[in-house]
Amino acid sequence: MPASCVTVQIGQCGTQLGACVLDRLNAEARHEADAAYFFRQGKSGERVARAVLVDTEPRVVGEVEGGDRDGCRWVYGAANRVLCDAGLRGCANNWAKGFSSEKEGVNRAADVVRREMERSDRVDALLSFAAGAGGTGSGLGCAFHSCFSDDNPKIRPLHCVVLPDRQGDVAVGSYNATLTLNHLSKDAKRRGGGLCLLSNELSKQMCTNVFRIDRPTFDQLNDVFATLLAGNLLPYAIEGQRKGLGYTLSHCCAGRLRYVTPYAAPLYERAQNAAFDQNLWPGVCGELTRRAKLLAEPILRADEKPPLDRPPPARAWVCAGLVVGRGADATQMEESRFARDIRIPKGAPGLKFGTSQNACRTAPRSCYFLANSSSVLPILRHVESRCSAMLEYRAYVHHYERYGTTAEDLEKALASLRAQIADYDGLAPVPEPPVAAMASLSLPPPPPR
Amino acid sequence: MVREMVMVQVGQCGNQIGRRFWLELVQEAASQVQGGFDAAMSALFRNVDARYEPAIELDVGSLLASLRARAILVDTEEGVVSETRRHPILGDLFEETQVITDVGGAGNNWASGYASYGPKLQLRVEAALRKAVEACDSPQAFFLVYSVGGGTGSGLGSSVLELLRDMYPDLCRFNVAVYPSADYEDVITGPYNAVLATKWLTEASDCVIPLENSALLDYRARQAGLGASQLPDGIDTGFDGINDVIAQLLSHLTAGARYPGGLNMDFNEITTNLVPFQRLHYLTASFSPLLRCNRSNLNLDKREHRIFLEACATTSKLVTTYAKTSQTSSNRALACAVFARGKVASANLIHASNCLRPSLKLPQWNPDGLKMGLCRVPPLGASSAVLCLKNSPAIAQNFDTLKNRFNKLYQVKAMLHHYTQIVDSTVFEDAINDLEGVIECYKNADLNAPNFHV
Repeated sequence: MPASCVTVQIGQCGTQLGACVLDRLNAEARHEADAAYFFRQGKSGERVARAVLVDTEPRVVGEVEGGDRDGCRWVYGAANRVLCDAGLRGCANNWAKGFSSEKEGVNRAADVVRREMERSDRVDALLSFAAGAGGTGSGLGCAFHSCFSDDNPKIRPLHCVVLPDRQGDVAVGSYNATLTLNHLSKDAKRRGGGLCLLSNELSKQMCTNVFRIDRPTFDQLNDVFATLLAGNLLPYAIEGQRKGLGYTLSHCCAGRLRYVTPYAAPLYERAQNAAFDQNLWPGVCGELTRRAKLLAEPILRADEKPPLDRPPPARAWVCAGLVVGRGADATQMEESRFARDIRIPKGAPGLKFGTSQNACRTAPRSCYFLANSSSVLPILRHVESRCSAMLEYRAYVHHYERYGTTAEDLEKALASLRAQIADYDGLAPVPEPPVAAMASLSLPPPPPR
Repeated sequence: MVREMVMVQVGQCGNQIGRRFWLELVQEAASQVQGGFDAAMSALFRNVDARYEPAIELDVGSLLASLRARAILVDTEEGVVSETRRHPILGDLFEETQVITDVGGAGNNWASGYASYGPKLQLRVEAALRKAVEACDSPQAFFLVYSVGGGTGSGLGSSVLELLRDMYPDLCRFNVAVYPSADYEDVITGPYNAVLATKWLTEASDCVIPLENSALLDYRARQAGLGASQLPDGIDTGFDGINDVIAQLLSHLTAGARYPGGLNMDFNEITTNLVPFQRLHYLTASFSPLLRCNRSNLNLDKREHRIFLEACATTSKLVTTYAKTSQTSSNRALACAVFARGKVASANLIHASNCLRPSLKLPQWNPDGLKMGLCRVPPLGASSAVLCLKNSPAIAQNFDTLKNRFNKLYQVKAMLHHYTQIVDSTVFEDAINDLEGVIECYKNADLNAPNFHV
């Protein structure tokens, strides 16, 4: 029975990001079998996204439409836009206000999702998009997920949460982020799913360095996320068996380590460059591992060399991951390069490799990697430091106490975040001796003939 | 589902400001309207079919019939409110039930406004508020506009504020308070009224924007000096000019909730982001461009950036702060919000905010405290505008000055008998202690002392 995945987009950011990702999925999934995972057939033959939009105000949810790429249209289902009242006022950037909002709205949203699920044969995953630092996506999103997961404990969620990892623009953003991460990671653990943290700063860096866009708009930032995520979300095959997001999550997320990071290669500066792509699998995999093996990606331009006086960036430890190669000759993808470059602690589940014969729209050979790696540490550490600085002075706490979230709740959420950081730190058992750093600069051995 | 706001205007100053505000709104709506009663208009207006008695409410999406403002006009004398109702454009906006007047006036006496007129007019005010809120689908906030130096605005205004807190504790109460200027005194008992009203503002209001006539006059003079055109209806009689500035401020504040934009800033988000501690909720506002002077010869990017810097400069403030003379509190802010309207690209806004950030010297516990909002619809008379709201400890200087003026009078018990005939003198003690507490909190916040919050 073919499986499918339902998407939920909560709040302004979640709606816009989700629309972008679905648009990219529509463009990439040229074969109906792939598209059926995220879309279903509409009455006039267009694709209808298996997606539900949830917000507390009608402006953004009303404005976002489906898309049209290469003649393949997709739309949102007619009844799939849900407006929650949230106590008759917006969420005011306040997690507590969103979380304690009227149960009626949240139940309505869960109903709509349930009806969407009934239109598919079998749903094995739930993809959700929200911003973690705002009020609606974070607070109302958590309320929705706790309501939904009570009724559907078997469906694995992938919560894509957008967070600032450097300068944020919401003063209480770190409180909202801490509470969201705490809540969603518990939810993911209960249901066997995971969280994907998307950072605006990273996207901005990629825009500047890779795509050469100096002042990216929000659409362009969302496009970067879409590029990284789309290839990771579409179905693939392992040893002839079709697998989807549900399997990915079951492999990548284990125990207390629930965060995944998406990587994609190749990334072209302009879409036209793809026509001249001569990359073979070693090149594509090499580009991917170059990004994935580092903790904090200093994405440099193609012609830029790292300055000599800077110490080599720390290496990331990957405890589990799924690599998918998409292309006509995907079975020839090199797995040994991953074994060489990606560090895996002993006893960890390690990497699994999947292939898909359907090539990506932009490149004849492309490779995607969804890694449960310690590269989430910079974002988590940033959120933790901001939150504890504010909580020490009890700044803004009275806004949360008004809606039932006390300073103790914040302390508990912060403590659990610190525990997660410690877990990921524990992936790297001993500090890296300088000899190993030198070894990483040496040339890899030539591939066996 | 729109966010509606209800405006409450108390006293002469409040009603005069309100008059300019509703004029501004009507003109803005006229320039924006696309053929019907849309969601943006519904935030501050009601659409009724006035052929019937009582008038029938018409929903969002209907054709425009008669507009009614979502406002309550309160005063202890009839002159100012009658003038509004006789106005050719504004007269129809206000129904009988929205207007509460009395005769006699409060005599520049806070106690008279609060303790005499407050209870006397309470039932009528309650009825009017209830009717206004019932006409809303999802009321978001109350705006109260009054001056704190007089009698009606400060006294009756405080009473209405308290009433709102008791009747609708969940709705945000936002105050625009006009404080007596430091350099000249037009009301001798001004300091008494201001300190007493400030106690109510600290306790019962969620957010206050203090304004001062001298700063507003300065601002207006700069506008005129740059060749600003006349006011839209050609009248420029004294206070009308500065009331126009306040009207633009209010319109700018509410624009985010009414019109769409790239970075929506809903009204309650202002409170959540700018008020880190409950009692420290006094925001300094500054504005740019000095509106109504179109300098379209500058190229767009540079102009935007300039607008930005102008907005956040000390010189564009609408309340005089003695930032330059003091050592400790400079231009720093505990939290700041920047709200742009018009053709401003989001990337430019972000870039300009990052340029602004170092000068704000945000405290270490609030490094993300710069909130940005973007609204697509430009204000009247300019293609873009920026409003900067800061929660700055420099406001403690103003309160200090006010406290000194209060003490000068209170120590010799001057004019006190007018008040003690109506209220107890402990009210004065409480009020001045409260003010001293707020000053202390702000000063500690400025020095980043731990446990300065109350």
